Amino acid sequence: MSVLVVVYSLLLPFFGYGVATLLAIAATAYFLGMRSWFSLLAFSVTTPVVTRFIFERLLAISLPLSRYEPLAELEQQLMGFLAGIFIWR
Amino acid sequence: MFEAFLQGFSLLLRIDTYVYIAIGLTVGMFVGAMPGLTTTLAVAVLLPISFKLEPMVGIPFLIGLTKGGIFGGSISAILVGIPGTGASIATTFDGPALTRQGKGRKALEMALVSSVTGDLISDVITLSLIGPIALLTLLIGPPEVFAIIIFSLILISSVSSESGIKGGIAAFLGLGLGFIGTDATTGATRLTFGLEALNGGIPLIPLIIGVFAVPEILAAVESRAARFIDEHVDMSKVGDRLRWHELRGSIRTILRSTLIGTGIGVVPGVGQVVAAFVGYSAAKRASKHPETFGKGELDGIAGPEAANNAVNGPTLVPMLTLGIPGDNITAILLGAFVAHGMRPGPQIFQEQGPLMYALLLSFVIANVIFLILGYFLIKPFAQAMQMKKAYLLPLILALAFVGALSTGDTSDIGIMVVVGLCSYVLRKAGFDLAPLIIAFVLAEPIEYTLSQSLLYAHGSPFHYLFVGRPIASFFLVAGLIWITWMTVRTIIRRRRSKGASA
Repeated sequence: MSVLVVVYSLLLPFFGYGVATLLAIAATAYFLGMRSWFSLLAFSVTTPVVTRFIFERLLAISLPLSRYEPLAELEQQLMGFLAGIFIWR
Repeated sequence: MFEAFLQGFSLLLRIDTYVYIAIGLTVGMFVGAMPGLTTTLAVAVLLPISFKLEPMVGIPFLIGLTKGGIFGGSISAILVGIPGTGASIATTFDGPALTRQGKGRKALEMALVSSVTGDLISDVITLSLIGPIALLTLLIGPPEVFAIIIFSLILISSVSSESGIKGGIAAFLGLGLGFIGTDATTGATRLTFGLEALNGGIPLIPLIIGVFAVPEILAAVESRAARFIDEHVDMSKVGDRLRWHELRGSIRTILRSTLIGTGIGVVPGVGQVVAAFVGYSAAKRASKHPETFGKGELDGIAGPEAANNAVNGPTLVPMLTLGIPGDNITAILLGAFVAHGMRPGPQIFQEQGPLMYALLLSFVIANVIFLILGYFLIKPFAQAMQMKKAYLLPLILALAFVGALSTGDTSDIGIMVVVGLCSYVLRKAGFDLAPLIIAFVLAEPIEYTLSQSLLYAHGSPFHYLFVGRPIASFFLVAGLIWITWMTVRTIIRRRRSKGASA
């Protein structure tokens, strides 16, 4: 698990919060016995999306984006989409 | 002072304070109920959220987490005999026995009422006494504050760890980390090893998360158990509600334990665990039927639960008036106060009296929300204890990283991970890391008060501190006596144990 924490911290600056967290959550959950692929996928995709939305859009804590433009763009679009649904102006 | 108190009331008229208290209480109870996860973990991981809120919202949110966390620990202690947090160890003496007798619900409700009462009364005592105490602290100068900080550090180091030497090492490590960076007086950098990233010192958030959250996550994963508890909790068999006559029978115990917890809370480093044990043994000694203790006695729940929550209010007295945190959580709270632009110390009630009173009043009101929420959440949280770790630990890991990233500097992740892995090793080696974090937050006041004292001393610091300032001298001598006593006691114990094994 210590290795996973180190790898997660190394991946963050390159892949950004979204993808690095997705991988870290999937690995940790698998390590702790989650074997259903559907649960693994749903849990590891939902968590970074929800946490990024709450912290970035509601609490103004900016989280790093991926260095790869398409990934960063995808994350931004997703956040914009969620903000359109959940944040009334 | 009274005017500041009245002005404080006007700051309380906002709904978001209470909403965040309720969120804090709920999350605190939930985390506290999970064996292996502590209140400190919850406060450390969610600390950055409080930084993004106004002080009148962010600080009560952290207090809600603390109050809820301490009570949450008693849910698993009563139902399955596994303490959720250290503060609820004494609750395991009678809790499981009551559950086996079909009185689990009575025990849980007794724990809730005792916790709320202990917390409420100790908060009111704190609120009444903190103003006059703050006025007294204005009479003392930097040499006295320096001596009191040193004395408190010695006390915390010696009582919080299993060995005083380990506590001392942790405190020195904390001071070393606290001194890293640029000297405020001379502008020179020190202990940075040429790393520019360390010129500004070690940031508090990644350090706190590294010390408290990372080792706990690693330890929780290491156990390899799929769930927080293996036992099945059947809430339909926990029996009837607590009756008024049963509560009335424990009122003396609750009040006694509240006073015990309040007294213990003022002393830095002692904390909730000791208060709970003292509260339990005092209840047993005062009981007309002490033989029932350990076999399912409601007073055995009321005693420790009132005492451990009663510690909450008074720990704020040395923290707010002198800037000295007594335990892990108050050390984190001190960081939160500083981040919100409030510098705890003798001047704080002069400079920000209305805000301080408003915060303390919100802690009192939080107890009412605590009682209502606790009443409704006992059952769902008792069932939540059986949840799989695979759903909660990855989330906590992600939140820990978000916390470290909240500073806006991705290099803080590196600090958190390095500190976290080192803290994990230290914990494995039997170190309690409370002295480390407390020494870290005290490093700056130690440096400031010492440099001021040296300035006043005009070249003869020992004569000045030990003869010229009697209060400072008292605390420094008391610290030396305490170290001598602890050393002698350790030597005697080692000789006795060697003699016994030979």
